[in-house]
Amino acid sequence: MKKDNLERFVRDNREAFDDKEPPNNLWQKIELGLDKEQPEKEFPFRQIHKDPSLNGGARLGSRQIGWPLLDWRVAASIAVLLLAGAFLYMNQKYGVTHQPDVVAASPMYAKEVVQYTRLIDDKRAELKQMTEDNPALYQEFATDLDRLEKSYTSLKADLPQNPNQEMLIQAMIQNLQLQINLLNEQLRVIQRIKQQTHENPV
Amino acid sequence: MEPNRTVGPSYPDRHAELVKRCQQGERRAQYELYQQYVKAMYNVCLRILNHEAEAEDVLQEAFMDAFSHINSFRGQSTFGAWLKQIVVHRAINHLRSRRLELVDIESHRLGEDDGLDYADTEPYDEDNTLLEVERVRKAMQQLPEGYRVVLSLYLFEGYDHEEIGNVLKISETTSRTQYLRGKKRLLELL
Repeated sequence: MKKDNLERFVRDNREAFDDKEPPNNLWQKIELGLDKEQPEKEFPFRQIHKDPSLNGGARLGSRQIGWPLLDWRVAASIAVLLLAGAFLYMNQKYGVTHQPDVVAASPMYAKEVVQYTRLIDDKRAELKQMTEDNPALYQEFATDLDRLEKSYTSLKADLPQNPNQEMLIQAMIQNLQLQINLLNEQLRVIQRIKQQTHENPV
Repeated sequence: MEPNRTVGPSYPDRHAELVKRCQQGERRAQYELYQQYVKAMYNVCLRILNHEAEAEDVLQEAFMDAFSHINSFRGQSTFGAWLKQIVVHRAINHLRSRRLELVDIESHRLGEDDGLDYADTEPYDEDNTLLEVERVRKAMQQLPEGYRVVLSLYLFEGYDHEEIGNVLKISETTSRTQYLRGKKRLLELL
């Protein structure tokens, strides 16, 4: 393409260059933003936004055109949301509400404890569901589990006044791991039983 | 800028009507205006920013801005020109926040060699033109940022160098040299 042709080419085909499609959900976002805005009131400082050079004049001052007018209520609700989000995140991570004493004693291990206890809850629910048609078996399994659970509870109860907290927490974690292993074993057993009854229906 | 170059179809009366309804805060009118201009403005943003997600954000802000300050639009220019100013300004500010520096340092990246050279044949059949449009677009995207912005404003948005200087806070002369160098580079890429 020749040099002097470039400008002409662009000018002649200007429309063809504008063919990229804007995203579909853009209007919704704009509408949301407009809904959040207050109808403009005439505060003295609002005059800042009324940039006279915007009235179609070609020159614009160096000032940026105003923000979308956020008022303090919007800011406050954003702050509340952020705080709530942060809390939930931290809770997810450290489980302050589930394991307050562990978190207080050792945030490092708290995460592990939370993860394990959550896993155990899930697996227990699964176990319960799998043994619905076999309550005797569930009872048997549950007894073993409860024994471990008890020792965990007593460890936990010792935690606040125990001088060697780290050791204790490690013992707790070990106990949780045992519970998980036991649960896994039990689930495997159920699986096998189910398979056998499936293959040889009585 | 040629103040009367409208973007998209131009129905001066209907638009004036729409603008009036927007000024009374009518949401439907806002949507209709938006529909009229969104595509052209999106492409303006894309050319300047060379980044889809950012173009989207800037465009959203620009429209919100335009609608919430539509009462300061007095009709000395077309609504399209007024809107474009807001869009361009916001896009440039966005770039600036990315620390736009009009320098000549640039990665000398040669695009894939298209092998085609229409040096002397002026393509006027449809396919070739489209191909050329695509090539020009690709080449634009490969330009260093400073060149790309100046070329976008001058070549595509019809700004003159004085206006570009104002928008980018550089001197008119700088704008001129940037444009010439940018154009040279673009032609090399083509």
